[in-house]
This record gives sequence, structure tokens and C-alpha cells, in this order.
Amino acid sequence: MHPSRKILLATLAAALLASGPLVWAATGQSAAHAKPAAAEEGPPDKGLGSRDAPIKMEVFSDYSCPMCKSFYLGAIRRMMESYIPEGKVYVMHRDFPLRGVVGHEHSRDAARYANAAACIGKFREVDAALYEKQEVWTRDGSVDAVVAAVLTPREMSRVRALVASGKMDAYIDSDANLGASKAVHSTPTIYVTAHGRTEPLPGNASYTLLRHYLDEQLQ
Amino acid sequence: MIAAGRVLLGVVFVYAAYTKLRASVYLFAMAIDAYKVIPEEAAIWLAHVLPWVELALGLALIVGIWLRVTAASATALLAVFFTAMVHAYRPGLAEGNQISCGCFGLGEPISGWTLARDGSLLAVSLALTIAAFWSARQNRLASASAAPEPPPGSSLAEKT
Repeated sequence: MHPSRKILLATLAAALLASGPLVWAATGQSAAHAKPAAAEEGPPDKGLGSRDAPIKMEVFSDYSCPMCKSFYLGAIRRMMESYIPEGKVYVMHRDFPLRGVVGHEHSRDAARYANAAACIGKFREVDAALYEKQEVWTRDGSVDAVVAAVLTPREMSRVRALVASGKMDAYIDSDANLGASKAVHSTPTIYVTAHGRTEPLPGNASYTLLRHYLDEQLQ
Repeated sequence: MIAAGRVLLGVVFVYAAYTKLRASVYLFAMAIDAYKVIPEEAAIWLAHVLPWVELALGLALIVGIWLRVTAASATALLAVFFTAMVHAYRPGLAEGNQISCGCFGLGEPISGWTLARDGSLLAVSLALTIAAFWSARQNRLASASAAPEPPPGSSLAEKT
């Protein structure tokens, strides 16, 4: 073999050997990138607080329902200031969009956005926005705009993609079926589990009475 | 008929009391507060007292003691409940948006069915009250007419 060819082959072999770890690192890196993305867009996490809390509250809600908004603003939001961060109460949102009810035409759409936001870890923000701006989007259907106002453009494009994928309906139906199995027929329907016992809670409970109840359960 | 009515009402009241006493008193206070007719503190007080009143009334009705008093009290109580339900019911609103009736525990929104049920109970209670008073009056008249005539002169003898 010609010496120059030998040199060329040796150079090629060296280049291949050198590029091996680089290719492996590159593919490994891309896999590492893909992993968090997949984790971020996994099943929606619609829980607030620690799952290990002694009181678990399951809230079957319809984003168009005025009483659901009242319960969110009057109770859940105030629990977010004390009971939830202190690890005493865990709140799980369940979608139960009412069908065929005037004023609830955009309920399912709102639930889709909430679930998509939950898939990327932005449930708390979107949940709050949907309740706060309920009068706006229930009137004109501007769910997308209301959600876009509380997310970054990148987050919003991911949420839109998830909504467009059609996969969110399965999560909503799963919640609704769970509600049906528990004989839920109104929103909000709230179940509180403490000391191994589950009790329904009135949807328009005042925070004062709710606090009395939670404190009693925590004793 | 009177016996059937009072036992029916009695069982309903005992069951209503049972569903409330087995849960936290604050849950029932929330159900009362949902009607927005009394202050929260009064709702807490009522939540402590009302289930025991229902239990006592129910047991008294089943046993059949002081029927006029218990039937009239049950009617008054049911009339208050029914009026509150009618006041809180919003016919145009979806069932899902109605408040909880709070009649037998929680989780039952006010609906045409709950109104019909409580209205029927009120009608039964009212009929029972009327029947109880009517029956007592008939008994009084019967016992008055069945009482033997005092012998002539006995009243004079008593006077002297």
C-alpha cells in the first residue's frame, strides 16, 4: 500500500474513533433532551399541594359554572395561602363539564386547555385564569386568549399543540366517568377524604365554615 | 291511616337525623349556610341542634306520644324547610348549579324531585296534624257524651 494511502486510512480510522464518542454524546444528549420533554407532556397533574397531606379534597368542576368559580376564589385560593402550602390539604381538580347547558358551551374547550397546561406543569396558572376570566370566555369563547395571557409564547404553543392533538378529551372523559361512578351530577361536587373517611362538601361552602371543618378534621 | 302517616313521618325524621349526626356538624352547617337566610354563627348553632330535634320528633312520631304536638311541630318544621327550598330553587338554573338540599346529608341538589318529595311530606304531616286534632276532638266529645249523668241531687249534695 502506498504510504500516502496508509496515512489517509489511518487518519480516517482515527477520525471515526474520535467521532464515535462525539456521536454517542450527541445522541445521548438529544435523548436526554427528549426525556424531560416527554415527562413534561405526560399525564396532566391537576393536583395542588402534597399528595401526602392528611386531608384530600377532590373537586369535580366545570370551568363555566359560577359556583365553581366562587368555590375556587372563596375557598381554594385561600387554602393556597395556608392549608395547601403547609401540607395539610391536597386539592385534586377533576373535570366534569356539563353538557347541553346554556352558558356552558365552551366548558369542554376550557377543560382541554387546563389539561394541556397541566401536562406541561402550568395547571395552577391556567386554572386560576380560567376562573378569574370566566365571564369573558364563557361569553365569547376566547379560551385561547385567556390562557395565552398567563403563559409564555413557547408554553402557549405547546399547550395549543396538545389541545390540537385531541388527546386531552381522554383525560376529561376519564374524570367525567370517575364522577359518574361516584354519582356526581352537579358542580362543584367536592369530596373530602380524611381519617380514611370520604364525605361530600357543599359547593358554596363559606371559607369560615370550611376552615372550622378542616381544623376539626386535622385534630 | 293516622298510624301509617305518623310512622312514615317518624322514620323519615329519624333517617334525616341519622344522616346529619353521622357526618361532621360543620358539613351540615355549610348546607344550612348555603341557603343564605341566616348568619354563619346561627347556621353552626342550628347544625348542632336541628338533628337532635329531628331525632326526638321522629321517635315521638313512631311511638305515637303527644301526637298533636309532634305532628304540629313536624308540620311547622317541614313548612320552614319547604319554604327555604322554594326560595333557594332557581328554575332556570341547571340542576348542576343548584345548592344542596341538605335534607338527608349532602350531595343532593334542590330539584323538582326534592321539592315534590318534601312537598308531599309536608302534605302528609299537615293531614296527620289535622287528623290528630280531629281525632282528639272526637274522643273528647265521645267521652263527654258517654259520661254517666250525675244522679239528681248529687250536685246539690256536693254544694252543701
